[in-house]
Amino acid sequence: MNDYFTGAVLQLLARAGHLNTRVPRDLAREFHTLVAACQAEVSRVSGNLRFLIDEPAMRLPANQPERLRMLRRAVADLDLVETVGFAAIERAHREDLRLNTLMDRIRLEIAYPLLPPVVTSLSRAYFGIFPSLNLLCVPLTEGRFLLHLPDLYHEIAHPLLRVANNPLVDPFRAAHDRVMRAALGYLDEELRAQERRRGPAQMVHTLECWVRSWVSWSIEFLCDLFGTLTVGPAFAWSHLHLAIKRGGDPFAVPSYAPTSHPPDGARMAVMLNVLTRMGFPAEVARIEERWQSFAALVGGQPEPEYRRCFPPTLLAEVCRAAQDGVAGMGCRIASPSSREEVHTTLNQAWEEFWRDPAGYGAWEERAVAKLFSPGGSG
Amino acid sequence: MTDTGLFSGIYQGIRDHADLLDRVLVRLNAGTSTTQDEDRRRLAAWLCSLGADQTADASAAMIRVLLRGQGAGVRQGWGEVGELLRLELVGPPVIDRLEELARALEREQATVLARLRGGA
Repeated sequence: MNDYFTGAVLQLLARAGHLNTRVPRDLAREFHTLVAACQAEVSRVSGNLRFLIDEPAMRLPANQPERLRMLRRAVADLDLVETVGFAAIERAHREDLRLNTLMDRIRLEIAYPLLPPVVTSLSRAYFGIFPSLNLLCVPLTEGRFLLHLPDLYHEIAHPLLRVANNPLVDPFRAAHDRVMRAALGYLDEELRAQERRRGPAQMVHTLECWVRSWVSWSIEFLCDLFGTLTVGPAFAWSHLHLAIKRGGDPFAVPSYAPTSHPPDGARMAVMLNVLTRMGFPAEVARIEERWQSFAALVGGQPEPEYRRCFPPTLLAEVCRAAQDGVAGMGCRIASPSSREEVHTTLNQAWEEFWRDPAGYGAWEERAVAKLFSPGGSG
Repeated sequence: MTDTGLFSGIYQGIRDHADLLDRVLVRLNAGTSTTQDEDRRRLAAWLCSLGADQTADASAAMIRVLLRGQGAGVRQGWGEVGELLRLELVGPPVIDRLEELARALEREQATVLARLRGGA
């Protein structure tokens, strides 16, 4: 396989080098940090690739499994930077500039502790962030509408849990540790109790499935609560909107294989818990009413397994940890007296939507124009 | 929100340690690894975190939970392996255990990558 590795790695190195030539010479400044991130990643991967053919130890038969694993990781990493990072760079659009200006205003309003991600409207599936590139992808027309924009605040929470060696984000990472300890402590006790009771073997598998799910659930809960704490009720409304349009059973818990996101019922429960503590009781009541209507429509009910998976004490600890974590980073916590322009616009959008759903579009068009006007406060 | 932020982060956490593990294995298999190697020291420390009941190392804590879904062999004993790696002579049983962990991490990475590609 030495000949294959030599040929394949040289191909990949050529591909990596070519990527660096795909930066338009007139690329807007908003994308320059993305270029730096992508080129740094290409350089890192290229170094790893050269190791595969230059290091004599790599030709030993005993090291071929390692060589293959390292090649596959390099391929995966290069795929990502090509299909996501450089694609966003080469296809940078003026719509993206509006979104990047908005992101900059958001990060200043909430005192976000890191540099904000570059935003591209190249998403093929809703909002998603790539922390390794600090790139946030949103759908093509998202900059023209307001009701889902609160989800930007969830996405920018992901990098807070990934960045290393930055004391500014330590409180949020400590919150994550606290949530994991609480969840695993609870579930380990449930597992011991299950074994003592000699209950059905399936329940042990289910409990282990929940344990593994918390690796993802802990992150998603914290990102939801970062969004809630920094943008307020608009985040919970946006989540209801997403759950109605794209969600499944709001109280479904996995039995066999871990899931990436907690059920929408649990997500909404923690959002409403935190909004109550933030001083939004009237809004919480209104969101709760709409949420109950939705749950009734889809026939969703919290069954005993759901209640066992998400006891109120555990969700309460998630809320407390998140509040401590966000406050500990020095971020601006939304309150009824918050008046920043982006915050106000996103919350007002939901007020207007419920006040006059049929006429909301006209209001939104004016609000978007005002938000993105050059004379805006950003 | 899609799974990209979630799985990108998890993928990166696994990848960084999978890279470290494979670099150390390459040198162990070649007979050129010493206790002075920075990578070997880092790996030993990380394995001790992986084997600890409580650890401040977030990636070790995450990977320990992920490994609960794999065979009994990869769930335990990493603290001892980490300590053995700190000794000068590392025998075939330790290398075999490290290979087992490398394969387990590859399986987890493949799962996460599939989710990432599907959702991106």
